[in-house]
Amino acid sequence: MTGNSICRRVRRWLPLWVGGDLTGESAQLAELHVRTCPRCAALHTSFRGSRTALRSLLPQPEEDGWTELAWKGDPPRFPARRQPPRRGRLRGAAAVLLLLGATCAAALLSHPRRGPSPSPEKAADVQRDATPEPIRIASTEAAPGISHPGAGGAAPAALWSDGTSEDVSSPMTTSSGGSGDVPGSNP
Amino acid sequence: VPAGRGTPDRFSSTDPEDREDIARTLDGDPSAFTRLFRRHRERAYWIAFHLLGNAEDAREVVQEAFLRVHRSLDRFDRARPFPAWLYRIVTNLAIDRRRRGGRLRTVPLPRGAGATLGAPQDGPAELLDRKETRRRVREILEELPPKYRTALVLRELEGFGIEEIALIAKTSLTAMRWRVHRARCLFREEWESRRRRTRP
Repeated sequence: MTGNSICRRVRRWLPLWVGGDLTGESAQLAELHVRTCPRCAALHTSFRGSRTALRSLLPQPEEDGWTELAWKGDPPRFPARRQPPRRGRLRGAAAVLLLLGATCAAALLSHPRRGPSPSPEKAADVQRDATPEPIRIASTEAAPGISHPGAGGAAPAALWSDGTSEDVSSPMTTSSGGSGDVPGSNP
Repeated sequence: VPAGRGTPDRFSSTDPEDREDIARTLDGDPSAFTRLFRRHRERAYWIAFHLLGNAEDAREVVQEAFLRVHRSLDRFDRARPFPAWLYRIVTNLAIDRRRRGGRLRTVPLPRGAGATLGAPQDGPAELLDRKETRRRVREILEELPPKYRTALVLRELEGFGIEEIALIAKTSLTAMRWRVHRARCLFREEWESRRRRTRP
């Protein structure tokens, strides 16, 4: 290796070597070379000088009481973090909602509805009809097997061809639970 | 690293104290975050101070950094070292503040820092010389691009290793070595140039 190539290499290493960031053989080679090459030694001195100047910004031991300088009094108060909802709590809430829903559904199914019942003739028509169009039942006469616990009003109801009944404006239900068979109807 | 500067010299991804305090903070214990703050505030403050040049701005930046940490602590990857994350926020906030605020405004330290800059045996001339050196160094640092300024502050003034600075800046080790190398070259060139101008 010629002198010039060593110089070039060491000069590339100097900025790292001066700060202790060069290790191993490279550091040894730089150290040896700087002892013998005045030009590289001068550059090394220059790097060391600038680094010493930079490090003059380091706080002196007397300045280390930074708490008095910078942070008078108590540290800032940080707000308490909101705890994220736990999975257990979510599960409990879901179970309660499910139970409530099931209770409501059971109550709706078992509790008799108020309102008029379809006449047997109309109900039979509905059973024959394959279209899902609701059929309005004008008759307020009670059909056998359909309870009318309240005063019989003229509230319209819709009965679907699949046998289920659906309220239109007032609650109405059949005691058979919407099985589709209307007792007493004529085929 | 100067003695008594708070955090340990080396980053540790498994620092048990940090990990426990982060977990407790996430469980809603505010005192745990205060412990975290007390453990890391000092070094965070000095980083901000060296980047900004005055105590008031540095304190505000550290407070803002801790508030941001507090807000997003649940998104922090606990496999990574907490200080690296915190110091990255501090350096970014300090650089942003400098960008917004324009030139560095230096505020003298309240306890009469001029009297504490040198060794006790230094005379008035040495103290003045040291004060002038600091002023020039700050001016040069101010003129460096932010990435080189940050690299110099973290390496030379805060004593972080290049690996740690790479973690803070989220860059590769090779890139950070090159950056420190370049920063020292730029600083030396400017320092020598000013020295030649003032001492012909």
